[in-house]
Amino acid sequence: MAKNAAWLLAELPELERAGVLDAATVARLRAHYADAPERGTALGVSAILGALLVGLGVILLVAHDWDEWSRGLRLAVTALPLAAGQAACWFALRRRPASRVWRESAALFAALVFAAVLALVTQIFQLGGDLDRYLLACALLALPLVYALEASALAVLVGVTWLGWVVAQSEYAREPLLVLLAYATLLPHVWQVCRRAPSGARSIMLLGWLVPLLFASLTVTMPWLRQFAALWVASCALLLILLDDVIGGDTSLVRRPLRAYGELGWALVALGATFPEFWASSGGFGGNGTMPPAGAGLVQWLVIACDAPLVLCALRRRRWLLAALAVPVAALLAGLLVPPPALGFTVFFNFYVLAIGVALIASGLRERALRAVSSGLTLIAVLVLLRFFGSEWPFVIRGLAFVGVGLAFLGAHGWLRRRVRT
Amino acid sequence: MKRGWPMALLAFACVLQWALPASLALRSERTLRDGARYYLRTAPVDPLDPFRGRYVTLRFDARTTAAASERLQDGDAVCVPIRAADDRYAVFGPASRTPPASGDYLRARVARFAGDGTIELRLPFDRYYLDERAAPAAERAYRDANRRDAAHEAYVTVRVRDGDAVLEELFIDNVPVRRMLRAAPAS
Repeated sequence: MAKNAAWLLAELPELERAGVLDAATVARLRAHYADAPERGTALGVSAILGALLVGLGVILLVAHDWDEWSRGLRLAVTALPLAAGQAACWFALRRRPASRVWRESAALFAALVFAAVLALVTQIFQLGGDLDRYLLACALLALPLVYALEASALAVLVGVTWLGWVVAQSEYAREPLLVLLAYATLLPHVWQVCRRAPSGARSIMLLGWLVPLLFASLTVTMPWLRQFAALWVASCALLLILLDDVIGGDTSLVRRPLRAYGELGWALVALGATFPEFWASSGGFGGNGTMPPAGAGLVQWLVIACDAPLVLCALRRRRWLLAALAVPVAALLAGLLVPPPALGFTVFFNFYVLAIGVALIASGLRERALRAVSSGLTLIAVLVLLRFFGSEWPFVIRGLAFVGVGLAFLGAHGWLRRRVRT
Repeated sequence: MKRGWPMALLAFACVLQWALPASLALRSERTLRDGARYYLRTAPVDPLDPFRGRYVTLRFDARTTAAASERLQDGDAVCVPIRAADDRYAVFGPASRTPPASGDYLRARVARFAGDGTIELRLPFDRYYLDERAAPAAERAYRDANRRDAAHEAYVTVRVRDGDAVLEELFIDNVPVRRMLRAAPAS
C-alpha cells in the first residue's frame, strides 16, 4: 500500500502537467496519501516493538531472582507489568478504540506479560511444571484479549502457542480433534476480519500464518505420518484450493494464501507422483498398502470427507479443471486399497500434470488471467526439468536442454503475456 | 459487536490473568507453610549436561511401581504416595491415577518404564532457581556433590500437601546451598 502510494505521489506532477488531473484533485490526493500509511505502519511497528522491549526488560529484571528480596516483594514486583499491560488494554479500549496500533500492541503486551508473570511465579516457588500446560494456559488466557481488542497479531501468536502446546505434549497425549478445537477458538476472529476485507492485510496475515500453523499442529499429532504423508498433503491442499474457490476474491496469488498453499501442496504431490519411486517404495512418500486405511486417523478422513462434497459441487458446476485437481487424492486412496501399478501410475501422472498445465494455460487465455497462464507454464517447465533430472544424459546435454527449456519458457511467457493483454 | 462486550471480555481476561498466578502462589505458599516435609536424595548428574545459568538442574532417582489395577503409559499424570523411610529419605508407593485413601501423596508424571518393570517418575520440580550471580557456583557445588564417587551428599527438602509438592531448599552436606554460597562465595 505504502509503495503504491509513493508511486502515485511521484506520478502526480506528470499527471497534472499532462492535464489528466486538475490542481485541486492533485492537492486532495496529496493530502490523502501524503504520509498517513507510512506513518501508521511506522507507528505500529515502533509501538509493538516498544511494548515488547519494555515488557522483556521488566521480566529480565525480575528474572534475576533477587535472593535478598522476600517472596512477597518479588511477587508484588512481578505483578506490576501485569497491571501495566491490563491498564494499556483498558486505555486502548476506552481512549483509543479507533486506533488499531494501540489495540494490537496493548493486547500483545498484556498477553506476553501474563506469560512472563506465570513463568516468574513458578520460578519464585521453584515449580518445574509442564511446558504444554503452561502454553495451554497462556493461549487460553490470551483468547479473551484477541476478541476484546480485535487483535490479529495476538491471534497469530496464539496460533504459534497452540503449535508449541502440541509439540510439548507427550506423543500419547496428542489429540488431533483437540488441536482442531484449539484452532477453532480463533475462527470467529478470522471470519470477522476476512468478511470485512477479504483481501486486506490483516486477512492475509491471519490466513497466511494460521493455515500452515494448523497444518503443522495436525501433522505433529499423526503417528503414522510417514505412510500417509502424500495423502495428507494432497487432501489438505485440495481442501484449501476448494475453500479458496468458494471464498473467491483477489486474483493475485499473494493476496490469496489459501490458494497459494493449496497449489504448492498439490504441485508437490502431483509432481512427486511422476516418479516411479513414489509408487514403488515401501513405507516411503506415497501410500503403500502396508498400513490399514483406518491408521491414517480421524482427521485425515475428516479432511477427505470435506473434500468430497466440494469436488462434487465443482463437477456439478462443470468446473472440470478444479475437479481434476482431486485426481492425486483419488489415486492415493485407490493405492491404499490395492497395491498401485508403479509404472502405470507414473506414466499416467506425467500426462496428468501436463494436461493440467495445458488446461491452466488455455483457461488463462480464455479468461485473460496472466496468473493462470504463468502457473500452467511453470508447471510444464518443472515437469520437463524433472524429467531431465531423472534422465541419465551427460551434463553437457542436460545443460543445453535446461537452457533450451528456459528460453522456450521465457519466449512463450512473453508471447502469452502480449496475447493476454491485447 | 456491541460496545459493552469488549470491556466485559477485557474484565473477564483481567480477572483470569490475576486469578491463575494468584491461585498458584497461594497454593504453593500454603504448601510451604502447612505441608509435611520430606527429604529427597538427588541422583548423580550427567557431567555433560549443559550448564543452565540461572538455575541448578536437579535429578532424582524417583522410581516406583504401578498400582495393580493400573495400565499406565508414558506421560500419564499419576498420584504417588510418599513416606519417609528409616534413613529419613522419602520413598514412593505404587503410582495410581487416583489419590490414595490416606497419607501424603504428590502428583507426578510417568517419565518412562524401566526394564525391571518399575516406573521412572517425572517429579513436579526439577530446577532450583537462584540469583543469577550465585547459580554457577551452586551448579558446580551440586555437581561435585553428585559425582558417583563423591564424599559429599546432596538432597532437597520438599513440602507436600494434598498432592501439591513445592521444593523448599537444596542442601549440600546438610547446609542449605544459599548459606553455603554466602559463606564461600564463588571465586
